[in-house]
Amino acid sequence: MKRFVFERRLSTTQEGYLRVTVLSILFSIFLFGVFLLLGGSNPILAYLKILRSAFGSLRGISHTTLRMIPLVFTALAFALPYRAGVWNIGAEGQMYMGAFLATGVALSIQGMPDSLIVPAIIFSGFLAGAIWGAISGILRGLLKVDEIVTTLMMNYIAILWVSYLVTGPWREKGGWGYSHSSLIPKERWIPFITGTEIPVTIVLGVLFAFIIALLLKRSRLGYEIRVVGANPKTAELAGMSSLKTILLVMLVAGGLAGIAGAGEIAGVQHRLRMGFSPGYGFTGIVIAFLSRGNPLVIIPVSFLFAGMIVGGNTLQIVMKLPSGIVEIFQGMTLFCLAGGQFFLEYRMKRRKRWEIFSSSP
Amino acid sequence: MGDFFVLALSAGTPFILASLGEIFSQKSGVLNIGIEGMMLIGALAGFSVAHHSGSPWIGLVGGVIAGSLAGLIHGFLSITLMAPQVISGMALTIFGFGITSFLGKPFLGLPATSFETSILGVTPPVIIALALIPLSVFILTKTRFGIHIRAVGEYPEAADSAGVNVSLIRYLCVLIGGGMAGLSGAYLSLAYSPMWREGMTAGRGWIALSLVFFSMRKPIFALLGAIFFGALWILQFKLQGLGFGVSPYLLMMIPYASTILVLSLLSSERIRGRIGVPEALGKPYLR
Repeated sequence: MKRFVFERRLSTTQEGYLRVTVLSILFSIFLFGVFLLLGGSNPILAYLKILRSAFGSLRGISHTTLRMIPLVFTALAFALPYRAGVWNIGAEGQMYMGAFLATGVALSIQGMPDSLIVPAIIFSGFLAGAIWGAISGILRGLLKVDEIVTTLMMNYIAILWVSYLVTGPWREKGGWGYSHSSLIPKERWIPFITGTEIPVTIVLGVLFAFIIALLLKRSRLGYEIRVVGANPKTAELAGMSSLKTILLVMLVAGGLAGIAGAGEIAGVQHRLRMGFSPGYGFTGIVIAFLSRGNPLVIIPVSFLFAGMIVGGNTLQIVMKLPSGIVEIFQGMTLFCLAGGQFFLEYRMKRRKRWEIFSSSP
Repeated sequence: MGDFFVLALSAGTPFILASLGEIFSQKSGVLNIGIEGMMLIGALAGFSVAHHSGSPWIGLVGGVIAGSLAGLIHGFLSITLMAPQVISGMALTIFGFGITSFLGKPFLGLPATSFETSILGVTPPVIIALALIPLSVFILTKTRFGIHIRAVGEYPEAADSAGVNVSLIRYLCVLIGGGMAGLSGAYLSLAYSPMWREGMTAGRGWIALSLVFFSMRKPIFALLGAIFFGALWILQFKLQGLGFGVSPYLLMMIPYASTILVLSLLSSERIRGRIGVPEALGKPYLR
């Protein structure tokens, strides 16, 4: 005899998506504010500090853009398979593998013209990530092994592999006991955009976002990806190969995450370190999910999340807060978005009196 | 050899506890990949409750309660709001890491209120973990509750029309999963390595998750797998000390790699049907 029932919406509209997403984010901002308040800080002051340090100065914007680069790639690495109904939560590991091969190429290749070495480094990052992603793609496509589990597990294999390298064979000799590789020679760094300290990989990231958006919207392949994602049975009946689609999206996704790793090492940190990523692969999931897999939305959202990381780190130092607030905010946002999804797909309906009597079981 | 077994069992206990909980959750149809986060929350809660109360036993209870509350978030999102379970679980892991780093700061460097007694060379929670295995088997296979768990995990529509409250059963299982993960974390911070450190679970939650798939959701296999993974965990330190040339990092790949291997080998439809991957795993249910 329920007066209120939930009813599945017939279709989800663009406005509906926008409204639910904005409300979810506002709610998480509110929750995080309450959390800061309970922790004894003034939330409004804290938010202003975050905004000012991340976006309020040229230096801040430069830092934010630097942090944004890996996020765009890892978010795309989640988004593309997501559109095909495949859960790639392995971007973190694919990024580590990309960083591994890129470092290997940057430190060991001899006799290649300097103009080719940077493209070779970026491509090797793509290659290693693509192979790492494709393993899960093949297992899912051929043997129906759940890709959620395999991509997740392969994260840790990749992270451990890099840890092994930088504590073992690749460890810098006489390197003061730190666990990292030797410095990549300066002429092999990914060049900065003229007049800034931002490597050109950012351009590549934005370009890839546009290419993938175009591919999904306008090409036959993109159509197949969307059909496989929306309804695998229909796709099979229409003669589309889900194996090919799954393999392809995982290959490209892994490759993109691999470029994130190559870009981070050859463009920003300049040596391979143990645990060089503060979880970019996982933050990418938050970003891509917020963007509902739309590559073009990923660009601004990555910028905002990068700002949150930069601002959160500043906040920690300035307000003398313990570490962890960036993760708390990201976790809360993801909770709110995941919960908000419900209101996108269902609506609450007030039933009229006669409906209650005529339909109650 | 006996000593090594005791060490492996002690190192494997967090895996036993957390995997048993996740088995309940998954059998009821809810995938929770937030084990690492729930374990951290349990570890910090256990440590701080024991610190304030002066009793490690009350600490363990605190860990269980905190872990269940963390699980409750996942339950509310994935059962009531039908959220994508992977997303919600991932959020739980990120959030758990953040909140424990934040709240745990005052406890850094403090000595833990630990267990003083040991039984047969192991701490009391290890015995609890061992006792929970036959108990879980009994609950899952011999009781009404266990049958209901399987029913809502395999075919919630049928369970519903037979009068089983699908949401209630799933909530209970997710709470069990959270509580056991919390207990597992509290065991770490109170008995296994008595202290609080940021991110002290060090990936054990992910190993516990992989163990659930590795063991095909059977508590007995989970026990064997946990001892095996526990032995690897011990070996990574032992080999270093003995001067063997195997990197601990390479050794710790084995749990993940063997899980992927087992899943691939057991992937044929026929075997899948027999080992009972819950049909409704990961799928929300709306009446």
